[in-house]
Amino acid sequence: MVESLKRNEILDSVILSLTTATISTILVSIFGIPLAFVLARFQFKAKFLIRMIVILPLVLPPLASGTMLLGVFGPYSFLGKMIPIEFTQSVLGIVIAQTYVASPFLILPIQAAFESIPERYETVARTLGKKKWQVFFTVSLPLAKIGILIGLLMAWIRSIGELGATIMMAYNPHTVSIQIFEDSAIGGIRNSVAGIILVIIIALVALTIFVLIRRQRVLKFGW
Amino acid sequence: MVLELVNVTKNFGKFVLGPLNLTVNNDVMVILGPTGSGKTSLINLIAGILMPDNGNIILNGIEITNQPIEKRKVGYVFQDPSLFPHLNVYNNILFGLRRKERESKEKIIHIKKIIDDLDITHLLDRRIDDLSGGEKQKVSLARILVLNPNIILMDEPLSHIDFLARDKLRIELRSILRKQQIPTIYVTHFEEDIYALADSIAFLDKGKVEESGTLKEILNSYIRPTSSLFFNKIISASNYLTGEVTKCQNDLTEFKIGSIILYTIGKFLPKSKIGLIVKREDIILSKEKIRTSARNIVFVKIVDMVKTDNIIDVYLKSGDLNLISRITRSAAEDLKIEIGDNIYAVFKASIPHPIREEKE
Repeated sequence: MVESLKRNEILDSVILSLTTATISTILVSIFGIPLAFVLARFQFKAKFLIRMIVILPLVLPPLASGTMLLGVFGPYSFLGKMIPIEFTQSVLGIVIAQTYVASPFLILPIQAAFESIPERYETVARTLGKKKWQVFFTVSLPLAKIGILIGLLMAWIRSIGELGATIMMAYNPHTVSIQIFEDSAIGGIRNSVAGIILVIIIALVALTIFVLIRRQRVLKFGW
Repeated sequence: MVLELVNVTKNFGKFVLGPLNLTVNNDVMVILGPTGSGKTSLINLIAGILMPDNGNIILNGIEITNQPIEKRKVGYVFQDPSLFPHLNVYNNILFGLRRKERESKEKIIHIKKIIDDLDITHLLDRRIDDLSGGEKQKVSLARILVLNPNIILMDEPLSHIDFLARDKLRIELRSILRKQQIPTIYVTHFEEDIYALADSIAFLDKGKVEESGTLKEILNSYIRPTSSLFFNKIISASNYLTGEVTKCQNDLTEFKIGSIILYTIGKFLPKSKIGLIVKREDIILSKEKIRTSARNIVFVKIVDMVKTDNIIDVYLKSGDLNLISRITRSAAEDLKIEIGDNIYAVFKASIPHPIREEKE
């Protein structure tokens, strides 16, 4: 197992997964947090449709998601022909697959967090002279902080564990999930243990960081 | 500052608020009304949380009907204090101020004065969860006062506070609001709030203003029954007395209404003006002067008797003192009293409930 851990491709795949998962989580949060707020606070006609689109990656088999993404970003797709960028078999492909698959893991808990904040706090802030966007940054966002942290963590962990859609979009370069899949296919379970252990360690570290942040917050604010 | 509502109407489907016509000057207008009468909707219209279908809201001559909430400079104290749980007390107070304002020397002095007036200096570092209901409402009041609002709106701010703290805060609130000289609308369904805080009253029922006027005007119109049982019940439940404190010894305060000396329990500064409530049912009538432990025995004349079912309201007068005693029909028959008779009105010093204090 120690020998396995020393293999460059394992460490490389772990570093690649950590990097792409972080980029994907940032990307999801840029559009996911405002979208979660809109879904939590506003009533509009297309709301049901948008909710369905958000939930879709959860219900679709990951391979089907990957196939769908290939249809949009593949070299023979409309987008692939129009834009001279290699979306598939690249780091970009990995990020696209992870962003798509991880998005509901970020949006849904954050939407629930916004919904749990009584709207009267936002109304009070407006009567105190704050504009709508100021209310979002000074009241809604800080009050939903725990939900946002949970959403970010879940999206990040899901991105690291992502396999199905990534296989379709970018088998190479190998993320840690693809490396484990390949090691297992070639050399059986023993060959893939190192990768699995590394992923478990990453998950434990992430969880510990989250618990520490939450405890500090509880000590400071009592909730 | 003057706030005017001209023909303001809001249709909620099954319920229509208005048309409302009201004027609030630099004093406290108490809006009274039963649940569902439209009190909160009325102040939400003024705050901009709701938009009227018709009519105009004018503040100091400027139309604010279509202004967004944040531009109206309205200080709104909600029923639930709604302090932000992610901020401590001090940061809650500063919440509405811009960074530049927070750093201005004048503003810092102003903030300190408000904090001192409300007696909350010791709370500044505390978390919101560590405050009592009364403390939370004081912080919520400080949070709006630091902004120098054009108008203050208060929606039953004392309803979530235990009754002991409520009495104390009520008296403090009157003195704080008087100092501010800002038009204030105070929504309530508590009788005590009227006597403790009101300069004027508007009574709202089924979305319409049924009665309005100064506290004196409304209290002097007690004989005139209105269409609303709720209003009659509230206004006719008590006697409201105002007097000047002459002496205070061992928690017993002597006060004067004209030349009549009366007593109440509590500590008040001599020469301060106090307002007290005496329930009609608590005034005993006696034809003869009896030796009793009660401290308040006043020789009065019966000026009117209003009979309803088995109850008789006996209107009494002696100099500047007007009282109403509520007795049963059989008690009136036993006493054989009639309009024009002279009689003794008796009540203990613990009966008058002090509700307002205006120091010299």
